[in-house]
Amino acid sequence: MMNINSSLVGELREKEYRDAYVESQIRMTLPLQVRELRKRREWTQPELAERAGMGQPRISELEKPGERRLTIETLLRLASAFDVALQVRFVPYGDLIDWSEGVEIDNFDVRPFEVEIAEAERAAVMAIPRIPPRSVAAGAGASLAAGGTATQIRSANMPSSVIEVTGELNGNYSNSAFAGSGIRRNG
Amino acid sequence: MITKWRLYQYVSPNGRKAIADWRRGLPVGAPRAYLDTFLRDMVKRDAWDSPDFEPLYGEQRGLTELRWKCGKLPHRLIGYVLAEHQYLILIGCTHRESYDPQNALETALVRRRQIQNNEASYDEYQLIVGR
Repeated sequence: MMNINSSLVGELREKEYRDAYVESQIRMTLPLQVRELRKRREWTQPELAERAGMGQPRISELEKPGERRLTIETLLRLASAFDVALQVRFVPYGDLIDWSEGVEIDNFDVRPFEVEIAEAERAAVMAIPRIPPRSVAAGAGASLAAGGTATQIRSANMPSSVIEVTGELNGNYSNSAFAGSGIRRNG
Repeated sequence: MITKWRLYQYVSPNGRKAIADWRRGLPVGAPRAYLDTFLRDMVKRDAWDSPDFEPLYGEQRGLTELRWKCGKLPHRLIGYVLAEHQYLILIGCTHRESYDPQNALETALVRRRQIQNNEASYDEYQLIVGR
């Protein structure tokens, strides 16, 4: 919801300012994000230029607020180079204000697809439902090696369908500690 | 809005506020909106660096510029770091081939001296924000 008493909303009542505000979000703020994405990947401007199929001087200009008009084509090439998604859509002013003022520019980075999918897979493993301790603990007799990974876990007395975990779980695990951890996936 | 920097502006002995006044003199559309967006973005960043933030040299040593473009016209705010994450803006100007106003650098030096000698003051610049 828009704060009608804010100084920005006061300015936005002027159509000319309103249009320029939208424009400034693209031409002023996006260059900062391009720079941030490049730096987080520890790429030089020539490296990004090569990945995006552009010249280095153009990247230099693209990273300066207000310097250059950004076309959809340019943004798509940058999105591909960074391997991130690009969202272009029409929204109410309140949404744009919320996004613009809520975003932390120092955390402007966007994870590339490979990192995003790996995180989603890890999260899926951790979200596996817990089993009540009593149903697992009794005489399970599992023996886990220190520093082993969860994919190496095999319980002597449990059906293999009860413990079948993907992903890495480094550290020391005893049978009881594992039973209490709630890591389980039914096969 | 979470901000990391606080911006201050020069206030003349007769109470004129350097940046608020300069902003009021800008056309209502893009020049004002770009200034507002630029400053909102800058105060959220921890470290300021090139190409948005550049030191001046020679006689103006110690002064710095905040830089952005609106249309094809380079805009500048000249000032200096007052304390950690605090920036005092002395004057706003444009800079196509030369500064406009032409004496922007000299004015910035005079204003800095006035502040250091307690002949002028400064107050916090109120960002144009929506929340």
